[in-house]
Amino acid sequence: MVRSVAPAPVRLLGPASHPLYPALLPIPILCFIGALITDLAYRASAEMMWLDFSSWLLLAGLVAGGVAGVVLIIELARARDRRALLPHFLTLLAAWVVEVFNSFIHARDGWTAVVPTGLTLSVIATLLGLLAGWFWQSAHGRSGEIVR
Amino acid sequence: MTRSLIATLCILPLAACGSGQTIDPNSQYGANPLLPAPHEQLIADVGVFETVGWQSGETPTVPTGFRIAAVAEGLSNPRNVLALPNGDVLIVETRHEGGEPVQRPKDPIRDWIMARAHSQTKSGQAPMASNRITLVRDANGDGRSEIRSVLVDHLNAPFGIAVLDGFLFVANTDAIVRYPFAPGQTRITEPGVKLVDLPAGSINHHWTKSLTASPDGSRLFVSVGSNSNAMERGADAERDRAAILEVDPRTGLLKTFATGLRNPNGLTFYPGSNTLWTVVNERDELGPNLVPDYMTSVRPGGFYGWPYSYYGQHVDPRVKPQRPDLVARAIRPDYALSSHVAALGLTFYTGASFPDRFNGGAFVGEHGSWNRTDPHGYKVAFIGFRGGRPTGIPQDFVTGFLKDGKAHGRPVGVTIDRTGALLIADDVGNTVWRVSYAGDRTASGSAAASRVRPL
Repeated sequence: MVRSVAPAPVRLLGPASHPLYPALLPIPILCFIGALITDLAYRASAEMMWLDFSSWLLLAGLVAGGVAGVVLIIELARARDRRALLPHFLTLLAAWVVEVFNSFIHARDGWTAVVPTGLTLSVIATLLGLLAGWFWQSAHGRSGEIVR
Repeated sequence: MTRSLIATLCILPLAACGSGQTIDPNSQYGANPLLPAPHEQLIADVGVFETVGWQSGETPTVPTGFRIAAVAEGLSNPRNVLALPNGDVLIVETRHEGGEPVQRPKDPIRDWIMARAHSQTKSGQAPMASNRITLVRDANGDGRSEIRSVLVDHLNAPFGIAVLDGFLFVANTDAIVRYPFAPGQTRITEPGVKLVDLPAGSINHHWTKSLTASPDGSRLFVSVGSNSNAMERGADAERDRAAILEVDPRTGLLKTFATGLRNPNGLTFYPGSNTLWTVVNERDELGPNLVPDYMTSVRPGGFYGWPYSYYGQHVDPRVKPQRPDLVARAIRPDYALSSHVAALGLTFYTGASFPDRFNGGAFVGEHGSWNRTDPHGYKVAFIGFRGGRPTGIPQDFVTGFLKDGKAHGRPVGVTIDRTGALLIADDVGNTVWRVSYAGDRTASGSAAASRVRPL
């Protein structure tokens, strides 16, 4: 993008060297990965404890992801180059929506809470979450003036 | 590509709801209920109703020829009722205090929904004292009680009671307690003696312990409901649960009588027999039309499926690891009452004042469904018996508990008093109702039956 007058760079929300968003983003991604791991443990053992872990990890991921999403939307509103952030935003949103459905599936009482639908959704959401992290890094590298 | 994925996901709930499971209500009654395939919805159907109680003058509805009146009002969550031969009526007022430990995020949500369907007080108002047995006496038999007295107080979520050999046995949620009691007494001052502990613990999901004595008085039978819907609290939580236990009333020695009964209540021996009957609440969240609650005779040592299977050998896909050895011997119950009616009370008609067709038949108190948008239960049903076996489909006997989307009352325990009238404990309505026959016993019996209105 060529501009005659270079605008001052937009800084991410939060204290100068401790922006909020990069601190929040890993939480949902890690929780979703964790839920996939505990789902696999449940499939292997049929031990209800693992289903309980999955349910709480999904809830924690959704809450943290929701907070991160709000901050991200504010960043999008402030950003000069929204297009750079769009792939990140959409993949993260997709992961979040998948896990909302997955939470309802995980509320079932036993095996069918995980096998096969819950586990499948956990795989999809984990991949989407990792992809969202990847796209964040791309946006960070490409568009320093937005994401610094 | 991402957009189409989001679009697909947005359609998912629409596909998951509106299950299209509409079946003929009459197909889930009797010996061979129609059992559709399990249908686990994305969000389970929920239909709970605001509880409003009864205004002065309002009553449930009874068939033509019958009369209904309150025996006692202003009670605090009456759930069970026992009529003594001298005419005294014992009313068990009970409230299970304390919630269950939260195991998953769904638990507080479910508790909140269930609390709405049971609440009798406006928010901020403290609930009335409960957990006691109230005695009412109608000495002249006119249906109005002259004496009302608290017989025993400070109980722990009692439900089943039985009078046997000079004792009142009370099945608290955690133990059977025995009090010296002579009919005619209106207040028990002696402390109770614990006969035997019952499974309770911190979860104590199905907490009502139903109690009855064998016809010869040599044994007590107590029901213990499961600690979960389909064993989602783990197998350890189900020790001695989902079962009917047999207790020696003198020594407290306890042994298992029958198992695999998810939440059995209303234990009653069929009149003139040694056959124990119960009504059982079956499992939820397999769709609005699974699993039918049932009424069954109970075979000694019998296994009735829970949690591994329902209605005989229909395996519950949620339960792992499975037990094919147990499923293979799971007994099919005698009589389906339809899905989610929440049958909690059972009594057989042994009186002489109702028309003949009621003789030996069963009255079932149906507390009412939550796991259906279209409600089931919320009534007292009547099932005719021939030769000691249920016949035909249930008839609505006492209805009108649920009206215009509001729950005025919810029937629980039922019994027959010495005049042959039916007594109903109504926990949401805080009332015990008495249904008596007002018509000509020989002439209008069939007319009354044909006028019974569906709910």
